[in-house]
Amino acid sequence: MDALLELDGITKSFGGLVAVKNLSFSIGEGEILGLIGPNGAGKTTVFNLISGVYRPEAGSIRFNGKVISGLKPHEVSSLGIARTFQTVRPFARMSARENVMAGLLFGRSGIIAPRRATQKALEILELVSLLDKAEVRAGHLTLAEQKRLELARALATSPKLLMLDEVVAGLNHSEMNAMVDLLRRIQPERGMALIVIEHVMKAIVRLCNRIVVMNGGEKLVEGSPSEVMRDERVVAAYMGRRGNDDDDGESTTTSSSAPQ
Amino acid sequence: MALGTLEFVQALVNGLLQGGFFALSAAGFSLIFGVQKVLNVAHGAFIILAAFATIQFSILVTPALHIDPLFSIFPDFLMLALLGGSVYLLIIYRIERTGFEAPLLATFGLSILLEYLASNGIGPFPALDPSHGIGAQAQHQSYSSNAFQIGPIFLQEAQALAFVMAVVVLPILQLFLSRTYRGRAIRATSQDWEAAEFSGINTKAVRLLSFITGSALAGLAGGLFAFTNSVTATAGDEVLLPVILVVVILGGVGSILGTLAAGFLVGVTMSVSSLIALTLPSQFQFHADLAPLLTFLIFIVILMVRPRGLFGHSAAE
Repeated sequence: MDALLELDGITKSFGGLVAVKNLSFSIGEGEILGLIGPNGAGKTTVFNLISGVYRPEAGSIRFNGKVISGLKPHEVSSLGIARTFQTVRPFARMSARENVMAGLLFGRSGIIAPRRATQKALEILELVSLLDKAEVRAGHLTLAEQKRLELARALATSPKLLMLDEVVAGLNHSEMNAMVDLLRRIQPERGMALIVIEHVMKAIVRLCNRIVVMNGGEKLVEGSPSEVMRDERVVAAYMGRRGNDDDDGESTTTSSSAPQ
Repeated sequence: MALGTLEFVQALVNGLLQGGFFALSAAGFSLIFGVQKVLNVAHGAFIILAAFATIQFSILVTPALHIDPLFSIFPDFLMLALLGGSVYLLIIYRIERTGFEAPLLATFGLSILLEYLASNGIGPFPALDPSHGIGAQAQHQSYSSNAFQIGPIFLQEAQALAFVMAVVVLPILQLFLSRTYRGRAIRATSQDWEAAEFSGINTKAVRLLSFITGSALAGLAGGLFAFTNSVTATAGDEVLLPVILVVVILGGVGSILGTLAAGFLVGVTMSVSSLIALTLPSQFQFHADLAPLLTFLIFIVILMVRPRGLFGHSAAE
């Protein structure tokens, strides 16, 4: 398989705390990979390692066969990797349109002329149903709108790989469904791969082809959504104890609802 | 002495001109703080460095080539741009990620170094002749400290030039920030540098550009300062930096047009309050040196009402 992104034995620690330990996984073109695990499992650190915020202490990260570990975030962005943030971070004092224009002008879209960027920005805003909010300051949008705006800004950089950090967290049920539908619609259209960090299992199951479960900085399980959900180790990790410490019967009965 | 209309108008005009200079001095500081959250406390020393360069120019170049010393503001602009770029790459860039304190201490140290060099006449600084008092001033040939008259109102040439520079350069800077490609990159970086990086912006280049621009503005201000004030080695910290801080905070950090308005407000307040100090009935008179108190009083009252400054934006926006 020719992987789009390949992590090979990545390790990163902060002081004495090992946040990511000997982690390997890969994602192919156009694939949607879920990255799940309890809080503190190291998921966001993985995003930060891929996007160039941190440099791995060991291991390598390849994108399109090229080693990208050690590059700066804007260099990684210009290769075609975009991301959103766990807590939304739009440019609060710019309008929605200007936010998307930033992704267009400085990303790898190749658009530099403000007029074309404006036109293209409005197209992308329409895609995420924010066209009527184009001139509203990003700081004045609702959380759901800010999440879609962040997605729009990331899309504007024309990514081949988009990393979404809890993109449905904090949304109500219908907003969540709308976001998942949006992602399912635009992902094949744009032919991009997605890595999705998510705690909301309904969203993960509806989106992903494959899931990597992390715990304590290491890969615990990898497989299809249904395989992963049935795995006792996953359930135990979410319950905060090892499966064999307690009697197994109890953890099995809670398995269907536990990861939510 | 009664407070005549003419004196009042003259004080108002002086204040506006002086305010233009304040705005020009503060704009670079505000830009740098807005973009990279670095408090460049060497900004005052940068201005003084440029002022000394202008004095050197008036001593060395003007007599030889018959160039009016006012033209020295252009080499000042370039020299400080170069200095700002070097300071950013050699010092600030290496420490700015560690937080707020290290760049503050580093620029504080830099200002002490520059003051030491200036007071001892080392390097580019002219040796100051103590017999001329503690300060030095640019020596003019033809223009000298020319003043011209509009009706009954006197305008000092260098001050008028500072005013014109401020009302021309600062709006251009604002337009640059809001309209151009690089300006957008600067604004994005100032709002969230990480999000800017992930949008493909090279934030190191943006920070370098803002430090160069901010320092170059100090060059313009410093060149003009040499014509209106007596320049001493420590004037940057003693005279300029307090006013710069007041103007920047009043105007709202990072707001260039706010800085311009706040500069005028501070200039007029200072000038008019000195006039009032001198014209009060004798039993109420206070020393003119106390006039800045009124400025700071107004400053405190405004901040009580609008903590974000006149044109600042709240954190929530």
